Amino acid sequence: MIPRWTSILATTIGLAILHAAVFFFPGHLISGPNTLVLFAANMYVAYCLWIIGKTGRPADKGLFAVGYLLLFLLVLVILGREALFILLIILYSSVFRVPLLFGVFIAFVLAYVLFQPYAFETFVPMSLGWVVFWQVRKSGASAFLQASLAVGLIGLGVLLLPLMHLLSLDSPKTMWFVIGRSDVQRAIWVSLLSSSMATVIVAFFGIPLAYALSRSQFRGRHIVEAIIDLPILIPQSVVGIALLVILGPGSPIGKFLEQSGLGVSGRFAGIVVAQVFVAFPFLIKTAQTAFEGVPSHLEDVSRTLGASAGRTFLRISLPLASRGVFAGLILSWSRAISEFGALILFASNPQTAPVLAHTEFLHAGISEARPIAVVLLLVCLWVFVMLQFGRSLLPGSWRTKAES
Amino acid sequence: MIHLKNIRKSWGAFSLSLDSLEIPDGEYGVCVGPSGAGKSLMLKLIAGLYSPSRGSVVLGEEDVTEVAPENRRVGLVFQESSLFPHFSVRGNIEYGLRARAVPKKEIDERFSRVTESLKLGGVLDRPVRTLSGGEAQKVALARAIVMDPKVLLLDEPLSQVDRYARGDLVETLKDLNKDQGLTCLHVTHDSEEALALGTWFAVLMGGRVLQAGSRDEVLSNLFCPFAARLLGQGADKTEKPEGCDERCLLGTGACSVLMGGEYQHG
Repeated sequence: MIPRWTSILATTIGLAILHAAVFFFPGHLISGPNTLVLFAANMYVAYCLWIIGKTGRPADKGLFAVGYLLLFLLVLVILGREALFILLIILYSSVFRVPLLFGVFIAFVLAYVLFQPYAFETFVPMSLGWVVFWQVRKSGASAFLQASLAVGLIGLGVLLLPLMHLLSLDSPKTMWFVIGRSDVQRAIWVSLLSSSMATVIVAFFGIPLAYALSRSQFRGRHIVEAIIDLPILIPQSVVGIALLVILGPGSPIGKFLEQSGLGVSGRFAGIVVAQVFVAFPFLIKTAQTAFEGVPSHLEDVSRTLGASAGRTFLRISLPLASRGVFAGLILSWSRAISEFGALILFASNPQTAPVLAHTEFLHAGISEARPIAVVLLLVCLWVFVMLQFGRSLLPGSWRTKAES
Repeated sequence: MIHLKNIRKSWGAFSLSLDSLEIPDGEYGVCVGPSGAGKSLMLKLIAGLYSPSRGSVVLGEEDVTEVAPENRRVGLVFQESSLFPHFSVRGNIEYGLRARAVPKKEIDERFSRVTESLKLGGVLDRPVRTLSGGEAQKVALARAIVMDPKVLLLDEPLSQVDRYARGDLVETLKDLNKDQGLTCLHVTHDSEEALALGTWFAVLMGGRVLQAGSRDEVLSNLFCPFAARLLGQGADKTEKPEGCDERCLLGTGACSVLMGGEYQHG
């Protein structure tokens, strides 16, 4: 689409006069070269405005002008940043008609102009949130649902903010140096290994328990379920003290274990014990729901077809519940690797990564502990993402098309 | 032959009480009754998925009360699609043979015999989730009979199947019963279905047998108007028995004649 040449000419002359006036205005508001570039940029803006007037609703033109004016006031008049203004108006006119990009643009302006020192860590959550919100909005969700989502996303964004900020502080070079430290490496290996072992133990006891709970009715069931939840409720330090009292070197069991060479307190095994304790509930809840979602008549059919109860569990119940069970294992693993309070009391040696970050903070201060925290965060995130990806490869839920 | 002797089973407030129920070999037994009459529980007792508190289950000549379900050689087809969603159609049909560690060659043989006789050629390569209700039930049927069961138990197998596919399945079931002499026990509350298939009837009510016997016996000597209705007969074919207060019509699943004052929930 090309406008008529008369209107091109008129616009060019009009804008040229306007910019000349700005340039020759006493006090030189804008420098010479910038005025030229601004003139060119505004020609482009005018062209975009013309297209919006041609294709959009009548109100769009007004909105476009208001947005331009806001940018003008904010960036040029208040902040006085000419180059940024030129960049922004070009972006603004380009993405105005594409809602998805326009939202990201607004997030960009808000982050880099208003929340300047925290630009990166505000831009990422805002634009991610907008992309999610926009998808839901486009799919035709009700206004109430959109509002609910928006409220929730704001909360999530606030959660993400400190982590993003932490990530943005240290240069890759510092991090590389920290990763190279042998004590950091050892602590991360201890963390990964102990939480993986804890997860295996949790799975060994937890999956049978979750299955049994999903398939049986008995009196006192609520009590059993409350006991399962107990480790979530109990403060970490209390867990540490409780374990120390029963398994520590001063206790009869602890003494016996020490003598037979199986002592746990202050050893690797102790870390695993504490992690099993805190991670246990997270598998049960999720796995139980997953098993409840497998219709029992599938198991009945399997039995009548000649499969034993054990085979039925392995071939039917467990595969069909595997996504949920795996989700529970991921949660357990995450809870295990994030444990700190019980470890510092009960098994502070060998140091896991959270314990190392804490001791580093006590001895050397925040700037030394920070890169370790970041490395730990990245390692955990990476494993978490990999596990979630693995989960998506498991067989889907059992629902047939009638129910879905 | 399916023979239930002196069965007692309580399930919360509900209790199943079957003194003697005998379905002779080669019959197509249909069990009708309102919801909550204990029909499905009865099937599960026969299949061994629950064990009775008292009494015994006899299949053929063998008392199977203590036998685990996987060794009873009972075929079971449920109402809703009970196909294993994570297996293919072939995987579903071969599931039982693999569980029994049948040699590969014999699996192939039995598989093709069953799929041919049920005319399943068209669906073998389709994912289980894309099957229609009728097709899914046919596959479920194939999965059960490929095991060569002594009896076939059907729990409202046609209720989720649309009307057009129903006729086909009814014919398939009839053929299985007639040509292969397979003893069936079919639970339903659809009288049309019952009349189309049954050569032997039982009417269940509140966990008890109202009446049972061969088709002619039952239809010519209906116990009460409600039994007549369950079997699709006019209420004029019979009279209200003595002591009947028609509480069954309230949907309580109880019968005053059968239980007398025993039933206190009404």
